[in-house]
Amino acid sequence: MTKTTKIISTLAVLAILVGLMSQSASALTLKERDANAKAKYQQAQGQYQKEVNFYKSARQDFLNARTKYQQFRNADNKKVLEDAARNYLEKAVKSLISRLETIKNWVANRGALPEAEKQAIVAEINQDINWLNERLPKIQTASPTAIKEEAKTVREYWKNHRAKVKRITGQIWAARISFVIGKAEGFSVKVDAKIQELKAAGKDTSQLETWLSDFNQKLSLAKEKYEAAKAKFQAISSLAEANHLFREGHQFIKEADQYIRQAHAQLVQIVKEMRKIGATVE
Amino acid sequence: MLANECKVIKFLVMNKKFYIGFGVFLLVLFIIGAIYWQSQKVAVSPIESEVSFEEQALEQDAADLEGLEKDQSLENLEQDLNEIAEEIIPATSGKKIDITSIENLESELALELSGFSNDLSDLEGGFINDTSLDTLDSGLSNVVE
Repeated sequence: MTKTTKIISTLAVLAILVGLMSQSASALTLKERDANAKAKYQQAQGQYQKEVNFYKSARQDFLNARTKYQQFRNADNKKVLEDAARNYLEKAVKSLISRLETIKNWVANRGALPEAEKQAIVAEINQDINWLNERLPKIQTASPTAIKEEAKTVREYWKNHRAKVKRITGQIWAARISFVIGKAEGFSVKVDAKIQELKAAGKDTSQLETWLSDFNQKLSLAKEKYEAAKAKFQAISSLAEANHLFREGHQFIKEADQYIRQAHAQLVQIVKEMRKIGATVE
Repeated sequence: MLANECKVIKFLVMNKKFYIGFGVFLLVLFIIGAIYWQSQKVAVSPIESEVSFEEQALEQDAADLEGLEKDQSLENLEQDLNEIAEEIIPATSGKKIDITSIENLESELALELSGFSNDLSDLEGGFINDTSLDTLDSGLSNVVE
């Protein structure tokens, strides 16, 4: 064997090994990505629970200081009460930020969401987080009067926040089911192509075509329900109507889910029929 | 005895002409009878022969049909044709239809639905039913006071 042949053989073997390794690495990356998403969400949840515990503790401290001041109205107790109020407010805002971070984390790391809707939701959450973050230095240095003003502002925000979380959660549900519908629509195109292939091979595809039509009809109905749900969720603007609209939207989402499940059952039939009419599986 | 024989021979010789005539008469009668019989036979024969032929043909056909009915040489024809349809024709058509991709789509959709259900519960449990900050409103009201 000449030197050139040896070099060429070695390079060929190396190329094959690199190819195999890159495939394994790619597969690992997908798994790792999924695991990372879950780990990040768990981390965010853990951080939120920690902030909630700080908030609960701060609340108790504030209530104790308030009771003490009500019993003994002196300068020391007033100072303790003001500090406790400031701390309580700060912890409340941090808890809200952490809550939003958890939702943002859930959305940002979720692969099964349309990118545009994901970005829109993340942007909206970021806007709220930024607003809340701006509150923190003001609260930490707030005068007694300013504390009350900040407390009013945060309380007002909290009312909107609850409605907003419902709206965002609904929007995530809608985006999530839209993703599934989109995928199923893509499947329909592929199934249709396969039916045409079977037809060209002389197979009787009439039953398959009927079922594919049913499949598409179910997806169409699911899409209608998704649109209805989306409209309900988008209409949530205040806490007063949030629960009612959220329940209605949720119902539409469940109905859309049912239609997709029926479409899936139809797809199972299609696969069975394809096997039955003699298509080979390689 | 000998005299008697002589008498008989003498009698026969004397009646020679009678016997010859009688013999000719019988011969003519036989010939006429033969001709008549033949003519009768020719007159019936086409029908008889046809009937006979048909009978024979019928018997033959019946035998053939019975034979065909009992014939088991093509007993497996249906099965053979099915096998041809299932195996030989696709093979000779030169195109195998692979439906693995469609099976994969079905599995993928099932997984998507399962993932969707999980996410639905996840979001509901994590964000909608979260009561961790339910005391915030009353707490903030206390600060405002």
